[in-house]
Amino acid sequence: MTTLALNNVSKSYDAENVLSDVNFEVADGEMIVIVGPSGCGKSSLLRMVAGLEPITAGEVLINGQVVNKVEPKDRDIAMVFQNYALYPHMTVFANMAYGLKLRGLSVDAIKKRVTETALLLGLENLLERKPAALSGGQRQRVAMGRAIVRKPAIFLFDEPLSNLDAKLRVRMRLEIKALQQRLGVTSLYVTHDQVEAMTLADRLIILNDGAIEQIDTPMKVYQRPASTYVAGFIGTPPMNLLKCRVVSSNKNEVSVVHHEGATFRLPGGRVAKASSDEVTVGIRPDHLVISEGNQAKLQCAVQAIETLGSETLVHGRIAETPEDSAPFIVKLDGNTLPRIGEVLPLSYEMDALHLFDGNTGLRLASS
Amino acid sequence: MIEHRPLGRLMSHLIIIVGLLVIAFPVWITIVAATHDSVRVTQVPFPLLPGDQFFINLKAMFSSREEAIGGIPVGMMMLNSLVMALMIATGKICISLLSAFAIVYFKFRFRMFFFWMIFVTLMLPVEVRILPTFEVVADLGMLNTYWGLTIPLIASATATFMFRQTFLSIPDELLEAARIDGAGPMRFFFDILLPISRTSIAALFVILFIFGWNQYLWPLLITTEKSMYTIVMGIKSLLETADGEPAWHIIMMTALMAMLPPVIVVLCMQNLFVKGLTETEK
Amino acid sequence: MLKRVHFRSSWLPYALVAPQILVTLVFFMWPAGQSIYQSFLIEDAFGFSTEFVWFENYTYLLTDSLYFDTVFRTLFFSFSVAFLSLSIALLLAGFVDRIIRGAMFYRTMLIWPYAVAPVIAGALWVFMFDPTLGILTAMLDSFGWHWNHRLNGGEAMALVIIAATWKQISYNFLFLVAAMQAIPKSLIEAAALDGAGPLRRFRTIIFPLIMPTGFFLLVVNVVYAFFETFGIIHVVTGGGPAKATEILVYKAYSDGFIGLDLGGSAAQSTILMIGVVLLTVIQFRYVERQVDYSS
Repeated sequence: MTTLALNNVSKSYDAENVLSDVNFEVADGEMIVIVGPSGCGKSSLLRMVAGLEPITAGEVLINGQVVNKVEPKDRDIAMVFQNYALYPHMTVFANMAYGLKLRGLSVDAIKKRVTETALLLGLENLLERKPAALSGGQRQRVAMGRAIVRKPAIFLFDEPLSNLDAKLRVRMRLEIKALQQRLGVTSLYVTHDQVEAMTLADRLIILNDGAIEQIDTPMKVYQRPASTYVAGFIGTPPMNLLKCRVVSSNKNEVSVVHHEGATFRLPGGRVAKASSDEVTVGIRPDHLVISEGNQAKLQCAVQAIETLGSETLVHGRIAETPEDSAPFIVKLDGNTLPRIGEVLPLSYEMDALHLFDGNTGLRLASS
Repeated sequence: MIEHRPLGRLMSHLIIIVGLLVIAFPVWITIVAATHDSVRVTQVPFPLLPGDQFFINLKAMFSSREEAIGGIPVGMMMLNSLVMALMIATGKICISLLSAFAIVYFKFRFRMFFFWMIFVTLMLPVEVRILPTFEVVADLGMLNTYWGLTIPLIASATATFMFRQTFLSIPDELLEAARIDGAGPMRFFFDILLPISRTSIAALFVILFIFGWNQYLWPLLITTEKSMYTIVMGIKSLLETADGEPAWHIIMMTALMAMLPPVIVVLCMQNLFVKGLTETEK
Repeated sequence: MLKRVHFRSSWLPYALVAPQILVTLVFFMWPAGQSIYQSFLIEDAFGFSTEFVWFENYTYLLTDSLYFDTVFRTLFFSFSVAFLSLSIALLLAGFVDRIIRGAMFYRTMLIWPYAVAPVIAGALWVFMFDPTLGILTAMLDSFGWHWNHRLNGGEAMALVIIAATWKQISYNFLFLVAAMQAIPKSLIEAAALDGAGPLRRFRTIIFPLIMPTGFFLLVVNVVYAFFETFGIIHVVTGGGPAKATEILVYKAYSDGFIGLDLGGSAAQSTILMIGVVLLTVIQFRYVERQVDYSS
């Protein structure tokens, strides 16, 4: 039973502030994925939990105990590194046995545990090989084996899949998910890949520029993003975000306009907390459908299409959106193949619209 | 260090500093000896702090009439060392650049034969061919000349190998683009290859300058006239001249002068120096 | 070895390699050949008569107990210098690798002795150990040890070992630090997380991984001690007292230039040549082919 908590944790390197006031808790057996772009501070966060970086401010608690001053080896933590960090001069067996040997387990106990873990990961035939003789995927599994065999209280994963090719990555993330659920070890996983994050997480933490944007389950993050940053980060292709101005608002309906010719009506009562009448409307490409004639709420001029077989992505322009802004993306069925220059009449459900404050980017929810 | 142990860190620094002091000790003593007069220097106990005779000893050393050191002109020696070191360094670099260029970029008969011939010189330091090389140089009338001092030392393979390695790592596309642009081999060499290899050349220059300046056995053998002595080999003569005790204060000052140029080069061009060392040893 | 894209010219490559090949032939090949040829001769001191004696010079050397003494002495000297300078360099490199602040400064302060010529190093140390006024002699005196390397062969050997070691520490230090810093930091962190303290990390992770460099340095150190220390021997002891510090290269020089035994000296040079070839072959075979540990 292991819980992890971070209270008001901040990290600075000399004058540069990398993380500010991070707060979250991880329940026993939960897999939390921290996702964000390069440089957002996620690796620093992980390394502070591991004890490899000093904590500038705040506390890290494992099972309720403050561990700020506890050495890494005493925190009962195992880490899977991005480049695996396998000891190149030792066999796979020795790599996995190293930590156990240091903890004084008997030769027999070590042998038993290592072979058990090897079987779990499909490594039983590779035990006598050295890392240089293994493929990327095999090395990744040895790195995990080394972590698992120690039966630690917490698993830490530092972008372990980023050095693998795409196909292997897909397979490995499912294996990691299954493994973690089977072993039930509290885990913290760091990645920049949002698909990986969505697949693996029990809960997601989206980090941007050293601050937490949202902590939630993957579905909630997808369906109710807390900010334009999260909205644009999670989901492929990304959500269309349009700058709009509030035209009218009452408790039933809010009407906003994006340049001429594009008016959006949303369920009411949201804009009370807005900082001004500038808002951002968001709608996901998959929530748009081609509609019949006068049912259409939007007109989209097609500028480019991507034929993916299973679906077609249309990049276009609606209304008077300036040429240099991001294209408006619509996801259609793979059999629908519009032509460039065609104007598509589009429609959507009112509930599918998201509304964000135009200045802060935060979600404006209905009261 | 990963552990948060200030005591451990302090210990590490201390041990390193002790090491530093032990290493620097001989040179400290040299400075001390060079700054006292002949009387104080021979007294026991030996002083631990420098004296005030630095400039006096410096002047005495440079004056070629100083009897205590056998009338050997120190200034002359330093000049000889400088010329020798510069000639060796530039000579080695020029020759090796040309050879490496030929071996890497040309296909010609005997290419591998020449390569192995150059390679073999790695295994023939001057110390294993002293007598015969001396004879050759004497027969060519090159004793007591700058040419005699430098040419026998400029053909060893380390520089060639290093340049070869550098050239091998340059992408083929560069040559193809140059050819399309109409460059012939020598144009390519001067306009493209050399500028790209600038840092390697500089690094090697540092190493070779030090190598050249510090030559001992070879200058010892082929210079018989005092005016051609180099300062590094001249030390031995200084130690041998005296009828009584050697004039340690002047000798140590000379040693200081002999050490100074290479040490300054290492200190000022440290990064180039390290690069040169690590790359020539591959 | 040859670039995929290359030039074909009839005369240019020959012109380019000509300088180096020329110098190599005149000053390396020819003298080396002469050396080997002369080792089969006995010349009298004035060069009046020469006699071709096949391997007589060699058999004389190889049955000469004095020569074998010199061989063992040289080996003892070499390995002492190698062992001492490597150990001290390892110690210093290990500690410099651990700290972050000041690493650059320490490195600068530790590598400059490389620039000092061996003969100068010898001059410095012989001054400090001078039997009458050396500062270290005085210190030893206070412990009742009357140092005089001019009389005591063991002390003479110790002195040249110290002088030679002093200079080599820098070189070894440089390479060892580079080797240690080539080890990915994540490896050390993984070991720390596995529960290994600093000493154990050094023993089980760092040391095994710098072995290739260590072995390479061993060969370089031995070659250094065999040849480049000529200056030290010459200036410190002149091979004495009573040949206590006469190493192979010195003996070759002294027998040749001073004793004027040209045949014998040439034979010694040839034997040394074979030794260098062996060492170079070992270096290229084993060191270059060491398993590349980088994943």
